[in-house]
Amino acid sequence: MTSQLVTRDLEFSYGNGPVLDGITLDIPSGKVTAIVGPNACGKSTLLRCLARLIVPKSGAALLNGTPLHRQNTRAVARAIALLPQSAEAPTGMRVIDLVARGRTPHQNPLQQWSDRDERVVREALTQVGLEDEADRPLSDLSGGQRQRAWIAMVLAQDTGILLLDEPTTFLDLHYQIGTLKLVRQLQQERDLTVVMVLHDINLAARFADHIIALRSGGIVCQGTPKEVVTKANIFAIYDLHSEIITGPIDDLPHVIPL
Amino acid sequence: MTTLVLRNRLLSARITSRIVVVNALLLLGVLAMLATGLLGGTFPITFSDVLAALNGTADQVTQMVVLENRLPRLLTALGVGLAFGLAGEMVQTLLRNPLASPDVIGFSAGAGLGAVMSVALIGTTAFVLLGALAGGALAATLLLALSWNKGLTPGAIVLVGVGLTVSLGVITDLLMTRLDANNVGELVKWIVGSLNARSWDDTGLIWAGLAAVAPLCFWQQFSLNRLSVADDVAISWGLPVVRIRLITITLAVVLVALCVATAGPLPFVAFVAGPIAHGLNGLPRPTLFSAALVGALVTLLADRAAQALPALFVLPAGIFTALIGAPVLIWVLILQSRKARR
Repeated sequence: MTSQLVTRDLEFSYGNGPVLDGITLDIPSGKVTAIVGPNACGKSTLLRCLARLIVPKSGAALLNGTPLHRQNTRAVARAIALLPQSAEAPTGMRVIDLVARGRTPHQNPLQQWSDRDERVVREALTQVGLEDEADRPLSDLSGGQRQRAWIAMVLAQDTGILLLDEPTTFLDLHYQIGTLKLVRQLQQERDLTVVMVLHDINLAARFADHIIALRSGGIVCQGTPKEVVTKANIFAIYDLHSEIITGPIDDLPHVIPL
Repeated sequence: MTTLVLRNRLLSARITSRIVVVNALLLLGVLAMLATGLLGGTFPITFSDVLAALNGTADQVTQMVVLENRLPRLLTALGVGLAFGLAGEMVQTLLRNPLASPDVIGFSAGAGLGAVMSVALIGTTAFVLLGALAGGALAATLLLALSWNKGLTPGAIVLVGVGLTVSLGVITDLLMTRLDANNVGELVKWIVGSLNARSWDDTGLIWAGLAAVAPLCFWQQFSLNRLSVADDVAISWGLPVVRIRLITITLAVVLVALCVATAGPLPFVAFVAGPIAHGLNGLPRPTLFSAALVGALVTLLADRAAQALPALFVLPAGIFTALIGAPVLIWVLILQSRKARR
């Protein structure tokens, strides 16, 4: 059974003014959802609430009907994995060390490398194409390979839900595309529910099934790329005049800013 | 690098062959230091003499040298070194900064001040451990309080900690000037650190402390290891990050207080243990066992150097640990500035 992640009247503030102002939404199960919006619209904060990193001021993010912050933390960690933005690994860490740490919610100080841990970590490494780099230090890898190692780490957590905070930041264009293609492929192979914060609405339109657009802590619109990416919506989200063209390869909408 | 897998019903772990070799060599080094410390020196003793002394059948002088002089001194140095190594590795890992060791960020200075104050106020050395514990805890609390509004970033903690070390040192110095000269000689131990004339009381104190605290440290290594990646990731793995921090700092304060009460601060032992251990075993932090062994080795070497000088120039072992520590400090600083420039 796939887990259901939803929010109800979610409010959050860092003190001065709400960052999230009454967000109610259902994350579609078994799909890739992209959260987009201008800077400081609350998209990363929303993801942090979904990841149980912060406790909302009122309302809640609920997993299968129970607020996340009232559930057992390890149980939540076996259901939801998070890849934070531009994470940096400690010096000297090898690929295998990082990916193996993804098993944490399934381990304890005595059982740190069970048969299952080893199998799941090997699978994750193979799926992201790093099986031959397992013993190399992360610092030796290219930017794209390093991001794949981090993705293998969250895969090793073996959860049904994957949260990615701007997985393409600081990557060259070809690595951005490579990373998002990998996310799409993993989502299909593992039937995952993926939620990612993306800066680039055109990448969101191309790689997500569902787009949630935020502005000033509220939802502007949500739906399929074709429903969300319209002239009127782009202006409502970004105050930006644009033309929308249909992508030549995949028939998806593409924003041309004016 | 070959990886060994240890797996049975009770335990499972992934170990590189390199760390097994490194730990074995470190252990061998420690044993060699203990053996040569017991047998060599100005009054040479054979192995059979040692066995006889332990059985109580040696002559009186040998009996005294082995049982009252060398054995307690070596075992105290060993225990203190292990404890400093553990404490240093834990705090450096927790704060993700090799500069942030308990002797750099004020824990040792606090424990030293507490120890000196307990002697100055009460007039006996009976409450030194309590004083050191209180002083260390006070230093840790001050450190957290003063760096709290800066978001507890590792950089802020190190800066505040260095300031704390200096300030607490000044208070200790002031206190010393108010005491009469006889006491001051005795008190220098808690300011510099010395392993001279250790008794079985000291040995008992540090080893009882280690027996109680070390298992908790090794249990904590699992969480500390995970926390070393990033706070957000650790929380998303279900780890209680704040609790892990508090427990780790508490364990480090207790270890440092035990060491200071037994042998004084021995500057830089906690600081050098981690960087040397990781240079040898090639693994990311934390590797508590390697760091503890390096701490022990450094302490035993410093004490050997202290004893090798002619009797006229008796210097406390703390001077020699500082001699070993200063170059490592410079090395770490160079590494860090190189990393920052990249």
